[in-house]
Amino acid sequence: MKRPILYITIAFALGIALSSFFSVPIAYSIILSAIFIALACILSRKDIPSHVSLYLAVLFFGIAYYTNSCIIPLDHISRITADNPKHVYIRGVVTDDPVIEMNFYNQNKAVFLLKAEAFAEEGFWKKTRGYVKVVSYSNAGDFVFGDEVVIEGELSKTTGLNNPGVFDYSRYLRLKDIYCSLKVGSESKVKVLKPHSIFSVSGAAYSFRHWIARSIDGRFDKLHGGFLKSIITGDRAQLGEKIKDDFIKTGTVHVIAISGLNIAFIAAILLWFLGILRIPKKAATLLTLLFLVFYSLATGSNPPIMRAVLMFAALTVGYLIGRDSDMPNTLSAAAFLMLLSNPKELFDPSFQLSFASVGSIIIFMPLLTDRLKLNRIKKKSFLNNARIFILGGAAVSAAAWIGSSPLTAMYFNMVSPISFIANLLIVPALSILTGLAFAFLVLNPICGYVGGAISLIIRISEDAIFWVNNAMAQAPFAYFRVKAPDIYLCALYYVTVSLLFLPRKRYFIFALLLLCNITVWETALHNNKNLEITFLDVGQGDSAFIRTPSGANILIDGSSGGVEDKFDIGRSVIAPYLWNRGVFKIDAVIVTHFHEDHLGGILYLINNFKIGCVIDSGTSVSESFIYDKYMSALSDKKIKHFVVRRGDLIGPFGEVSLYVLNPEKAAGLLDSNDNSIVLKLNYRTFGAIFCGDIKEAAIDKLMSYGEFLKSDIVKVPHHGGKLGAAGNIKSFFDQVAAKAAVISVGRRNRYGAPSAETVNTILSSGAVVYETKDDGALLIKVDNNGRFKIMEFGHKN
Amino acid sequence: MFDLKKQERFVLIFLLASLLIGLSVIAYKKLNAASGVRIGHFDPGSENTFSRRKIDINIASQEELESLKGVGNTIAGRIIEYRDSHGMFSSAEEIKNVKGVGQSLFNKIKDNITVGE
Repeated sequence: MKRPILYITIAFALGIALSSFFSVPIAYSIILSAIFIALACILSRKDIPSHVSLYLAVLFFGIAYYTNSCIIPLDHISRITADNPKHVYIRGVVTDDPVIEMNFYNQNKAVFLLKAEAFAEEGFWKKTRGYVKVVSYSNAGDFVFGDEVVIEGELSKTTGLNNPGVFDYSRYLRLKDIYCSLKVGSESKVKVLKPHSIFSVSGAAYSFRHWIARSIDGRFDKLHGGFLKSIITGDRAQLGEKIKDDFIKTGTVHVIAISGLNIAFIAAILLWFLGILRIPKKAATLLTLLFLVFYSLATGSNPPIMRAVLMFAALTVGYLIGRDSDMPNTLSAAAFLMLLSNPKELFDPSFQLSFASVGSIIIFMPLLTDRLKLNRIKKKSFLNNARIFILGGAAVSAAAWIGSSPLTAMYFNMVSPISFIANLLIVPALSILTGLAFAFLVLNPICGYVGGAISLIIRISEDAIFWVNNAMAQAPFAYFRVKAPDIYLCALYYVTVSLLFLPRKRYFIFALLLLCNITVWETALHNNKNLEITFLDVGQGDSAFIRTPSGANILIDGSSGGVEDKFDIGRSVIAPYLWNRGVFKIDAVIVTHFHEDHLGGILYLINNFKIGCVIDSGTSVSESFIYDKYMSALSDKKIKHFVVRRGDLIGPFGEVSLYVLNPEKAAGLLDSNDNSIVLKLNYRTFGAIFCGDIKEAAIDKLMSYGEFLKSDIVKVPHHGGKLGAAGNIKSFFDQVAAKAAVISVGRRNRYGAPSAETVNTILSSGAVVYETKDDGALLIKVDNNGRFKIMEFGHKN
Repeated sequence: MFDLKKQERFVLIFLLASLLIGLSVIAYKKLNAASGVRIGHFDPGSENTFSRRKIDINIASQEELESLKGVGNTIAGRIIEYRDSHGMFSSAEEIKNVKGVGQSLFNKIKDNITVGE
């Protein structure tokens, strides 16, 4: 057992992973841990039983440690949150750099993390602890990292959108030990009690970071500067989504986002520079390490960078104390320390990705260099150096790809074969860019002309990188969208890959074939004879997905999105939901009307899915730029575009019929809620009606359909807002006589939807009311007898 | 290759064969999947029909207009421009006011167009 730390880390991680599946009382796991430690001591000889009992002790310690970290202390700030937001004063320290951005309504908004120390609800100050995510619409920019502040605002539990299989922001925050958020309105203020000290290390690091940001902002526009900041300070606030998407597609996102490769660049540049100054190697290494620690503080202790610095530290400490460092051992030491500081980190995708790729580089490189006979090249010549560079680089990216592709498939729904080539080009290019950026930072204050010249070179090389990356992302077979593999398939994959290390390769071949068989037969046998309707939790907006028993995919509306740099439901909710269901082609996308909360998210889908056809009511909105974007996307992608009105039928979808009940043929071309498409879906004895955003005027016209309106499910018009004269609305819902009514609405929306009046009217018609804001996404499964059941995906606590 | 034993070769061939069958099942399903979406007409109480429907020139999309014989990209664009600036067509004949739509083109398309009911 030459690598004790590796096995200890694995046992610890396994313990954490296990305890997230099964809950084990802390007392039991501590006792078990103690017993195994005692056993290990008794057996303390160099044989297997003593080792095994040591690892079991660590495993149970991991279980206890994780379970303990999930217990929220009684005086924790999140303990005072209730269902409704609470008005409180909180005193604490700003623990990260406030990100200031403009929101949709052009208000300045500052987002930061506050380490709470005390709070006051009714005049008394009480001691507290824990982190609070603060979103402030008041004096953004008056307070900075390290300031002690008092804030007045509305405290509530962090909430996210609850959709099956889709990344949930509040869950992500919980992994970071953040359970509540404080909203500060524009009328209240963030008051600074004690400004941060510039003489502390963190204060100095913070000023250093701001100095970098200011230097970059002075010379670069948002696109180039944002990218530069992301690679040298890890500040990704201004990194454009399109640029980031291209990096994800080519499998090179680790250079800007995940693994902190930039730290390796910085370390390499510093070591090289100190080497030129003829500083002894050990001293140079120590200096570099100190600088990197300072640097990680300067970046606001951003986890990916912390991780990279820790890895670097683990590697160099061995060197400094004069011992040969064993890569797997030092790497697992870094992982172990990260997990000790926060065991929940294990479930963070970026943690998994960086250790999977670095780990598999360490494991596979010896094998690959052996295969490629790179270690036998002795003679130094240009040709041989080039060979080592290209083949070695390809081997590194292949190794990283082997380790990380199940995870990218799981988290990004993507497999990128292009990443072999892309990494070979992008990684050296980015290391040069990092070098240039540092040259710029040093020389710009000394001589403006030189700074200007370098910034020009940087801009040009950035453009070249963007262009090359974009070209690679668009190459045929560059990347594939895939359904997220489940955890067992991933495990099988890693087992298969590890079989490569057996002396006889035949087992690997068998395992590989078995793996292919499983994936193929899983899709081949996947047969869904139910009709499924999913109302997604999309915040304030509408989106419903229908899968017919015949296998057709229909999407009604796409909620909001399509605006640069703003949260895009199409990208963040609908697309991942569909990919995770294995849907890559949407046969019909129906846009009920062209308001942003129905059309916005569709734009991302048009550009990232195969679309059979798009159906709308043809009402045009001349001055809405979302509509213009939509129309130009349709003509760019040459997508079939149908216009439907009352009396039209959309199909054929086997036994499912989709009738259009609104707007009337004679309705004008003006867009309005009342011109929304209203759809009636019939399948055997089951019926559902989707009402878009119609109000009283359109509802009155629908009444002429009489008995035909009768449905099991109704998508309530206009997010459950006020619809018009109570009598008419009541007779409509009575006519529909639904068993369940779905209101698609966001939490704390600006419109006060749903209105109590509308909800009461629906309740009196005998329907059960579901609201996506509380119940999460709703999946309605209809069997072939027309019976249905509803599944909720919200987590009501 | 891999100097396999007899049983091993058998297993290998079996796995390959089952992989091929699985792939062909997927391909077959893809070919049989729902073909393109069409727009039909319905009346509550009567049968659904997907017979060729007339194009409503007042609301039709560019693409639907282009599906008419003799109407290309340019003329479809002009029809949309016309209705955007003049308002709705009151009769099918009014389409002749659009530049490029003459009597002969109108005769060709008049059975396939409508101005709503």
